Amino acid sequence: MNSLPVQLVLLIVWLGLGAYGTFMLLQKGYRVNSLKSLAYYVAPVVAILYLIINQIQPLNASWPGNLPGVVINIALGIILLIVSPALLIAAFLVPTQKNLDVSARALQRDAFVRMRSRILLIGAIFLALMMPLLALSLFRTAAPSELRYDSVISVMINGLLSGSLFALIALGYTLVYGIIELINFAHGDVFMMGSLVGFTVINIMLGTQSGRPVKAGTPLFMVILAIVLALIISMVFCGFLNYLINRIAYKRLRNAPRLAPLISAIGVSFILQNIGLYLISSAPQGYPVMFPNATRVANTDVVSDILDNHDSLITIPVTGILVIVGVSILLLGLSYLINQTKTGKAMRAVAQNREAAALMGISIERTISFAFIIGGALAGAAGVIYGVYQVQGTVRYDLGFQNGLFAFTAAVLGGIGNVNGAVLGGLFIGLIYSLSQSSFFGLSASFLDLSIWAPVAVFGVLVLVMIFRPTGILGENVQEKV
Amino acid sequence: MAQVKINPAAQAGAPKGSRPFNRANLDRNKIILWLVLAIVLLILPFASKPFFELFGPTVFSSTVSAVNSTLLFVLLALGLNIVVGYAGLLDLGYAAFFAIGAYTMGFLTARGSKLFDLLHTNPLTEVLTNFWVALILSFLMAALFGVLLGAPTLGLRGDYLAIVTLGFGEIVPITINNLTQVTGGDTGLSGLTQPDLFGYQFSASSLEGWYLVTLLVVFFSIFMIRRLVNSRIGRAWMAMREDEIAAAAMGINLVKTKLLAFGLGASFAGFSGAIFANSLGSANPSQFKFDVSVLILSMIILGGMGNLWGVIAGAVVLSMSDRYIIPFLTEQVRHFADSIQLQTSIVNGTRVTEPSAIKDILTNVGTNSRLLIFGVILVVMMLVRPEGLFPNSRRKMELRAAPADDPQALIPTDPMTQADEFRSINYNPSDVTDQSGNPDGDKDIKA
Repeated sequence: MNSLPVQLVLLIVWLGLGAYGTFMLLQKGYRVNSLKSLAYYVAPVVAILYLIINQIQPLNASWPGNLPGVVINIALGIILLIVSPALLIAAFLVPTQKNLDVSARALQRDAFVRMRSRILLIGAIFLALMMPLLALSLFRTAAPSELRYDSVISVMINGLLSGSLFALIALGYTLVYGIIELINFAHGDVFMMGSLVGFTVINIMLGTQSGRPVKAGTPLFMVILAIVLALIISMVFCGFLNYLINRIAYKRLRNAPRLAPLISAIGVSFILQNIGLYLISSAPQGYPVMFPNATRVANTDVVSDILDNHDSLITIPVTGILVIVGVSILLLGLSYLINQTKTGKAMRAVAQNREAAALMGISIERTISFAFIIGGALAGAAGVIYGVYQVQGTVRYDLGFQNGLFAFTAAVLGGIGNVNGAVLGGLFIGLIYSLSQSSFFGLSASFLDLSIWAPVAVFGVLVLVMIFRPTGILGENVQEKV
Repeated sequence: MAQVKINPAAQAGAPKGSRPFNRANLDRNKIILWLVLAIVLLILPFASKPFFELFGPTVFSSTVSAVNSTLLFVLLALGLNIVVGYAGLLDLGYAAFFAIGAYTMGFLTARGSKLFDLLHTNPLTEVLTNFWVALILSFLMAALFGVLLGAPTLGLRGDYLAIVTLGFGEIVPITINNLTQVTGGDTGLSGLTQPDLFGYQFSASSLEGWYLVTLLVVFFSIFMIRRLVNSRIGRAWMAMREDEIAAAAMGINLVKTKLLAFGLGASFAGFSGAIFANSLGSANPSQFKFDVSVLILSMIILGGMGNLWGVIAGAVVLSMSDRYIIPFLTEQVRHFADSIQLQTSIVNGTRVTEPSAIKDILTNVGTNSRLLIFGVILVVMMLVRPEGLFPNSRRKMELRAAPADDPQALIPTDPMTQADEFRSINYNPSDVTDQSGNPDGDKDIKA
């Protein structure tokens, strides 16, 4: 599998798609339908696959002697790691409104310029994040393992993977906020309930117990079926749960001051946490270990095993593939739903101007309920994917609290109320969390152990964004009403 | 001790009787009421001890410790009420200031801390390690942090402000937890030097002593807040809460007013945290998490935001339920669960206990129901009575928005609920209609 033709084909596919995406972006700006968005999204996925398969073998074998090889690989890494997320982001960043007035062409051009500057900004941030790490890894001759180039990549990929889960949760926050301007504090706990439902379904299907590997001889088909079924049941359950929450706790408070539904949301969050506590007590539970090399404990890498290359430090659990596939499908589905369907159009209309939408015959309450259902379903899916991805000791009754806050930070970072922003913010938060958790800078003395400061880094980002750019990266400037 | 504080409280209001909103302080009946209340509260623990001991040896001490923590929560609720209730700045990270007060007290008086060693060895600075001095310093430190953390948020309103304060509220305990070398990490500080007053040595078990100290501080705080709210500053806060732009146009310095609200609000948490840490003899970062912030916020919402007595009532109700009623009820459930006899049967010669689902469920409910009860209280309160149990009359008008074309509906019928309201004196129905009956008014959080 690690042969030259495979690599070449993948590289060509990636370059072709990437070039096509860039070309489309530069040419037309925003007249992008979901098929082309798909192209943009496929490019980075292929890139990541290429990266995994390529493995950068010669580099590790001859560190630090092989300087040209190092430079080439680092350059390749930078391209992959910056261009791929940038393309990914661009795919979601591009406004996909179809029926723009022709006379608004000047406006479009402005929007295009703004968008391009945003892409540049994002690229610059990625570069700024990457460069010190790469410089360090170059200049340290006796590079400790955590400073090695492939280790950096590994951490970043894992950051993007968990970031895409934050993005799924953040979407629920942002959909609801965009329409009724409510910070739905209970959303993180809906995610927790989703994780719990998936846990139960998978355990029943496979006859497993918390944190144990599946029984020997269980067919792979059965495992995948269990995961898919858990995903579906959890999505339906959480969508319904979120609908009920809206119906019971928020609907009557539509015209109350903002504080009332906020407090109500905190109350619902407490109730859900306690239900979780009833169901699984306070001890952490874990999804069963479903794939042989998926455990994090041994820091194994299924791809390395396949390729028989144990020198690589790139560790991606095989469940990462589930994250990529699951999140891609869900995001594309959401993109289709919001941009192509009538309900999605109604959602956008209600978000823009509730009164006008009501005058056009849109049922406001139905649209709000729909946003809650979609948000809940995404959170439920995120709960199951999170559980399968993280495996060890992840299902806890307070799982939703910190993850919910991180996802909320992501939504705020991207610009709350902005769907593309939520995805972008989620990826950013995942990266920030993952990078600040690992000890790249050798600062692992007890006083400056970076891993314990990771939440502070995320909340620090939250505070800084709120203070300096409250509308987030992609948020529009809202005029203050007097 | 407390009536010494209360008397000047009432008298100090007398010379300013020409101002209409201080008229209440002239009322002789009110002074008597205050005195009686103070005396009753002061002697209550001593008088009621024999009564409580009828029920069992530990009932008295558990009651007093519940009352003590209630008093601390009253202090916290009073402080948060300044920020949220009067100034209208939604703060979701108030426990951070509670932590700062507790840790300032800890640094100054804990025998293990480096600061204590440094200060204690020098005769000039030794006084700083005295409890009473450290209490004032905790107050000042919390106020300083209130201003420091409030300053970056000056430009923010509504939800955004809530989010930033939430961020600070998460950052502070995590930071305290992580700075292991300074704060002792998650084990926290312990061995705080406890005060000694007129030969009475305080300790973690001297519950009546702590009761009196806390009560004194609570009385002082109530006095201070009553004076503040009826002053220029208090009216500036309320004006700012109603409409920032209009308040600025009226010549209110928004920066100063907001920072004052943050600083003063935080300082009460500093008091509370300092007493909390010293009465326990230790401080631990897990005591200052988000749920504490939410608990305090729930208290002021339950009681009635912006109304001093409502807030105190809310704090008493929630804190007593948290410390006393809920544990009592859940314990009864657990006892009941324990009393269920498990059926046993003999299978193949060995005795097998059959599992009982009801017993398991009851044990579970009896063990973990605290959050559920709080959640239900919050949701039901918001749905049924969003203005709180004892609402501030103005807030009640806002929340029970009457049709704009019926100004009479907005006039509160019960004059007693307006005691704290300056507006209730020269009050003009059309004015009120403009404030709250306007459907196009801004949707910002109004506290």
